[in-house]
Amino acid sequence: MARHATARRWMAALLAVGLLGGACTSAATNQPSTGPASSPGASTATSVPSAAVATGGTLSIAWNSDIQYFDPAKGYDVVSWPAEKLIYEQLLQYDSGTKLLPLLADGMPTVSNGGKTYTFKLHSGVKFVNPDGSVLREMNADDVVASINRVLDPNLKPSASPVAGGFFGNIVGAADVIAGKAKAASGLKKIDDLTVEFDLNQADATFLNILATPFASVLPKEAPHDAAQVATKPIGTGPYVLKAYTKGSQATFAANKSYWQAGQPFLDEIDFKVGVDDNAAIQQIQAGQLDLMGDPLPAGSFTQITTDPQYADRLVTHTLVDTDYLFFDTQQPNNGPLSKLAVRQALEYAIDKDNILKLVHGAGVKADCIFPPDLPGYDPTCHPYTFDQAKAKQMLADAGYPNGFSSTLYTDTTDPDPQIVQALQQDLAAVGVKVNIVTEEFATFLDRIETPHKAPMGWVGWFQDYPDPSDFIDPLLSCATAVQGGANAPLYCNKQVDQMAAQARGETDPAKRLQAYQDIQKAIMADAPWVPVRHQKWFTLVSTRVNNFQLHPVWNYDLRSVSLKPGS
Amino acid sequence: MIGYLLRRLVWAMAVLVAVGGVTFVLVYVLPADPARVIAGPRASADAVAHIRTQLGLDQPLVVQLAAYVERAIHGDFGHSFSQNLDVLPLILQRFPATLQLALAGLFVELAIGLPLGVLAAVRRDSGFDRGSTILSIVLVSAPSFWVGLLLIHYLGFLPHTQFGIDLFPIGGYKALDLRYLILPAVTVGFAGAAYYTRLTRVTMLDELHRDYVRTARAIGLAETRVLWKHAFRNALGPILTQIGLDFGFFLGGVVVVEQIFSWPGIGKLAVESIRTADVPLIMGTVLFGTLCIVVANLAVDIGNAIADPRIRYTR
Amino acid sequence: MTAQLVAAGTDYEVSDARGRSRAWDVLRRNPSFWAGSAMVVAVIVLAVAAPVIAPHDPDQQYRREGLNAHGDPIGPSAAFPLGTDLLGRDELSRLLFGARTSLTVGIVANAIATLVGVAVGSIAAFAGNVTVGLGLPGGRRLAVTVPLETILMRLTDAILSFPVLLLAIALVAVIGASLVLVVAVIAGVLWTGIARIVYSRMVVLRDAEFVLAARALGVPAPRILVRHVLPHLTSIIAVYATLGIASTILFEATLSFLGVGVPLPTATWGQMISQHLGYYDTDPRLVVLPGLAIMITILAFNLLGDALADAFDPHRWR
Repeated sequence: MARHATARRWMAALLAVGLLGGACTSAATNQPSTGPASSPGASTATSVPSAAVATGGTLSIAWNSDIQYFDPAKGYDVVSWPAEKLIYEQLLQYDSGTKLLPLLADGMPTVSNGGKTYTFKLHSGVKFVNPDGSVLREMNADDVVASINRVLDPNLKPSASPVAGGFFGNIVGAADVIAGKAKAASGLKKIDDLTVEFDLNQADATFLNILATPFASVLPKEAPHDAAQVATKPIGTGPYVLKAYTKGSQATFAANKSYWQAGQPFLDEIDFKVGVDDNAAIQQIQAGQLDLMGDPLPAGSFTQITTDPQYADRLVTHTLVDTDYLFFDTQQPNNGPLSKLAVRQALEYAIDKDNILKLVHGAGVKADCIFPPDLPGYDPTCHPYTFDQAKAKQMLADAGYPNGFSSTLYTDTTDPDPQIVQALQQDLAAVGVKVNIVTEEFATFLDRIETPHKAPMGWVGWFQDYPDPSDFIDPLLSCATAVQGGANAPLYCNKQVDQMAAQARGETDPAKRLQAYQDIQKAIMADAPWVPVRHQKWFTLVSTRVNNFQLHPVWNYDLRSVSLKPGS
Repeated sequence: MIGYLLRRLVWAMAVLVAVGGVTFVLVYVLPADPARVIAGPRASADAVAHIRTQLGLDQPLVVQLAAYVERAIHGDFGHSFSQNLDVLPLILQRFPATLQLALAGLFVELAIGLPLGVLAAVRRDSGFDRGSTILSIVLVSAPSFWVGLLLIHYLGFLPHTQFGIDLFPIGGYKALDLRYLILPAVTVGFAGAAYYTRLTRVTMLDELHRDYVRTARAIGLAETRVLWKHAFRNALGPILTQIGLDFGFFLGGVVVVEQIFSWPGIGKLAVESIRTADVPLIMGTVLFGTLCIVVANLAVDIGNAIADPRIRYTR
Repeated sequence: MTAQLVAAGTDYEVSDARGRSRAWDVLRRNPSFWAGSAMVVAVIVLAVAAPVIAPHDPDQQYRREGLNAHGDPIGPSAAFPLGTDLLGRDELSRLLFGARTSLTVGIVANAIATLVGVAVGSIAAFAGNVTVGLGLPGGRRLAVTVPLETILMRLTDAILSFPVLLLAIALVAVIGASLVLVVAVIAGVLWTGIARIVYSRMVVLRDAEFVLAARALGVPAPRILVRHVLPHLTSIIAVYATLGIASTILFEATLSFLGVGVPLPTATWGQMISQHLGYYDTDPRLVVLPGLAIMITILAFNLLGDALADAFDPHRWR
């Protein structure tokens, strides 16, 4: 999901670090060789990884920021999602990789009507459970329909869901609900108690991914349309219930004794300790007082921990489905230098990406193109530009800027972004381009780069919302989003690329589709709206007791599968 | 006297209104669009516009300000979208942490400052006096955020690594767990302790030179009695004034120290609100901080007026 | 501390030539004065000479030799006497250039604050209530009395009630970080202290015999103020301007520490600390050194200001 500061420290709260993803539909099975770094106990795909066994005990995990929402229609941040994944469930889920599997659905849906109708059979005997552990009742099709309508409700309190239109607007009748003209979308249908049908306006290969996001969680149909009320008594079908929550301090999740899947949950209790600084968290993990931390290793202790052999088997790492990039205003007003293709291409050669990877202690993979390694459509052979400052200088001179030019480079205040832009500044100065650095709080910065021409250059990152290349092209690099409020910060608009993207979206053959996206990627890189720099790599340390923890490519932290080592 | 108090009260209200007005204008021109922030990164332009209308953000500044004032009078300070709670309960929820830290910081200041100041005055010109003067200048020169960091680094881990006990947790907060309070309180209080040492010393010196002290000594009262019962009690006036002002200031949130120690108080909340462009919360925390200072000033003025009838009531 | 007692017995409100030479005697015998002066001079010399004595450009990133293989800063060496920072820049050079930032902010903000403070304090004390004649339609005139004294001093009090740090952070969020903004914010707060002190002294002086005499002779008020009254306050103003530099540097460091100070990559001590917070566990040098620089500089001005205060204004702790 989206925009993020390229890491966090003091601020974490806002950043909806979108948590990762994988293959686009069940048909796509590519897992690139550069996939997730291994972690203990990797397993494939039954409904829940099978290596774990119920061991009981209490697991603790520390987070820098607090859980913002217990309402899945609203939560859109790094802490809310892992919490929601414990309480609520969706029709579909991913395996330990990026393959879609049924969860509340009884098998994958049948697709009809040219890809526009999805029919789901629901699992029977799934129980909604109150926070005190008592059973509310069994789930049925009404609940599924009501839950999606709830996300579409424009009068949801305190405000409408951020993804109502973006994710669910393709359902027939959804637009009317969002506009307040109807209570329920006509395309959401209960066929019988255990059968639900979704009718879409247009065939969309990514729709099943959306049904696996926490936004599509199934709540009881009587759930209040008010996030604050839901937070006081969250009711779901998940393996854990919210036993206690003290804002700013701790959320305690207890095992759901009436869980519908046998053998789960694995633990008695999971404690989210929030508001814990990452330096404090790492200290506590080293001391055995804490099991997991929700934030990556802090820069200062990074080398010490990653090079210490005693931690080698407790270090978990994974390359995020993310790209961090330097962008240029491709429509810079007054015929500005960045509006010129030759200038932007010259700057593609100016950035010493290896140095930036060194500055972040190797917490990243060098990015030369748009798509990150775990994203379908990733092209390991895509390297259109290589670092060559002499060449950049020459090209700038040829473009009419032998003495370079001056500009302003914006980013947010969250480490390591201020450091990275200082390195970029020195690289650009080396080819004659003098930039002033302006760092702003993330909210302000986001507003700036989504307002046309307010940032000639900027440093920012993008995490996928769901594992599909369209999630990088459509929101970031299409003409439709090169507008006020759009995420297309470079205002990149190439009608030909737009046409290619429209074709790729409608392509039903997965192999052809991915090839089409690779062609799009090459075409965009030739126009040089971005200098892709790195794909972030996440490093974290776990305690000696933790069993079967791995960073999930879509969810990053999916704690349902974690257990404790016997005897610990 | 009543007139004086009334004037002070009206004045306090005026300050509050002025600060509120300035802050409101500031957040109004804040470059981040609150509706956009609330709507989230994926929201469509329509959704943002809907929220803007809902919150009245499309209205002119004056209309928005009037609406805010009207709601505030009824106790409604809006909804914090970054914390997903109403502003007033949120501030009240964070207040105990700040209150604890303020009280503890004040305690550190006074527990060190008062005895040292009195001693320095009594033994004026001694090595002790000179030493405490130098030490207090050094201490007021150290930035509190830096001292906090040093304490964390050199004390925070020491008991833990040496003796395996977590005597000084390096951050965070547990209600009523004093261990979490020690380092932040020392950080808040050390500079103030130096200040109170000097303030106490000078006021005590003044008192000790007054006639009543000479008289008391002449009639043979015990020195400790003269010192504490008479001189110190009379010296308390200016010290109490300062305590009142400090306390009000602390209650508004100890911004830097709360940041360093991840202390979930008003100051940290305020900084978070600015970072997330959470307009209602910025307004709420700034107003609350001002209220604390203004009330403390008022209390000090009233206290002084009652204690010292000679005070000029004209202003 | 005899100094204080001697001075306490004098009439400090109206100093005169004798009073000054006595104050100088007091000052001369105060070791704090000499220590403070020496440190202030040293800091200023280091700041001014920074471009000459700094071994490196403070903003130059030495990516190969300034960082180890893991990308961490390196400790002291021949090339980098105090080691490097997280971008491979020379720590010593950044410390020296940081002094320039701190002193620039400290001195400029104080100069402005002192000017404004003296002006407001004097005007409040001397203008009192100002009667303004307003021309009304129909040729009539309306006399409006403006209680300038009350307004100005209440304004001063009001600013002292502002949660300054929070407003400063909010301002930076709105306008964007810059040296000018930092100076403006600090000066905008600091003048109130000077104004209060000048006002309190002026209120006494405005009723002094020599002022009343000058008035009786028809000397215009501004001239009395500038030629006769202000000279009596120069030493007091000097004391508070010196102490003000100390508080300014502290405030600037705090703003930089919170990330709302002077923009990157300009070297500022506060930011040097905050940027390296993640490292203080493994490499405390990067947090300790800039903190020491801040403390020593503030201490210098505090020692000097305090010695001056002992000599010229022994009652300041009241």
